[in-house]
Amino acid sequence: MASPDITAPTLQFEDVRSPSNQDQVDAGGFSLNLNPGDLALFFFESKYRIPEIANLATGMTQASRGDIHFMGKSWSGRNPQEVLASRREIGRVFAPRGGAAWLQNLDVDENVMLPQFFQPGVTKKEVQAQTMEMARRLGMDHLPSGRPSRTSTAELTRAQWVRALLPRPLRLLVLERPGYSVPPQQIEPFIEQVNLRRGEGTAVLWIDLPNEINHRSSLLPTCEFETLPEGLKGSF
Amino acid sequence: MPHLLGKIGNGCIAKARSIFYLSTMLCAGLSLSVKPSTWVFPLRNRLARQILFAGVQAVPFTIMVAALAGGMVYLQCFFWLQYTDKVEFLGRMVAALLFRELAPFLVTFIVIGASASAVTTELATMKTTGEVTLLEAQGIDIFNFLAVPRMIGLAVCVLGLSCIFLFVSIIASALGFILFNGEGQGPQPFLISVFDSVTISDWITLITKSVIPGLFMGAICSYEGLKVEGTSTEVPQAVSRAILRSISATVIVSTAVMLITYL
Repeated sequence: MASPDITAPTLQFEDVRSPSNQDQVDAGGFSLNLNPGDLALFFFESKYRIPEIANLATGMTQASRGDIHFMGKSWSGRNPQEVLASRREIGRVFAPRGGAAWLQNLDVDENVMLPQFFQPGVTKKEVQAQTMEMARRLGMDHLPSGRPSRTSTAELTRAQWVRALLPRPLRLLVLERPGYSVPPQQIEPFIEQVNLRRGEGTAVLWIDLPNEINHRSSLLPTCEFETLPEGLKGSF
Repeated sequence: MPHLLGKIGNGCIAKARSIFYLSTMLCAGLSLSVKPSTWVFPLRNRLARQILFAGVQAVPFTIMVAALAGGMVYLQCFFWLQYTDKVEFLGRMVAALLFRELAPFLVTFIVIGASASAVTTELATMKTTGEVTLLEAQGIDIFNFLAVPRMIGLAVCVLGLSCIFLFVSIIASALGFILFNGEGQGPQPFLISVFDSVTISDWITLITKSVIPGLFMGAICSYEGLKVEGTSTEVPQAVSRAILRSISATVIVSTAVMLITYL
């Protein structure tokens, strides 16, 4: 398997048009270069739109026009095993009600650790230790051990933070409404960790509702986009 | 007429494609299952759960069926051989019937009844609720994570339950011998004649007829479950397709192995 091009931007959208007809990303064709350590902030007026850009960025959805490159290589030009290996280098907080964020037949802690077991050469003890360490850094004494359906939304969101920050190497963080239902004072350690990762070269896509984001000033975004009827409007 | 021929042709192509796809799944599953790197903790855990739910929980029912079937086989063989004056072949006939046909065949049906619908429903529900997409988004190979432990688990269950079935049904036959032979003998002569008549080919037949249908069952249920698109109303259709195709695969494999054994 070819090693990733670490000199290339982490994520590139080249004149991308979303496959969804009604999508506001659609109107013009959208371009973006996200380098290691960059943070792009996206504001969507509709919460139902949020997973779309995340799915495009992670190669889950193919663009109807244009191309999306991750670590210098197009998602469409990779074989299935390369696609999976690349996704294991992406941490993601999944949007509430944007699709499933949890496997219902596993406990929350098992869900959090699951992707890490598929990293080559990692033992069970290492995964458990890394997970507990990350949970502590994010201000949690322990991860919820019940089924996702019996766990509060705030706890699930915080468990998603742990899951998103665990991959090694972590090239890209895709955060869909990461502060959903969490009290503002509890999000601070998460933002701290995100900034720490940016310092280590992780690029970040933060996708949110305009009225929902707190601590905007501590995020220090590289670029911001908001959706307008005619397409995405960006500022750099 | 051309329209009818076209339909038949399309049906044949679709059937051939699904057989090819299942065979590919089977080969891929087997090749992955022999790689130690495949068996990361969640897969070992899933395999253990599969064996528990499909195998261990089916043990009491299998014992009951085996006891009844063993007694029934003994009585049928005894009365027909007595009628034809060939009672000396009793042990050989009981062994052939139990090892070669009844144990793997009935156990496969027990596992289909107990687990095929459960596996298909679980996977189809995961597909419709977006959990399969979630796995893909996290870089997890869904075939490796969802299909392989189920295929291997079901094959292990069928083989294990077949051995239990054999053990219990031979004991039941031996009880039949004690009760019906009318000469007041213990079970030793019967058991000796049963075990003396078992050859290496009987064991190979038993293993083949247990493992291959088990693997096919796992592949079929995974294929049908993961093929579901859209709404949950498609789940029951997938379940009935999986059950019918698992039964077909079992009958076809059993017939093929029988032909290879006897021809």
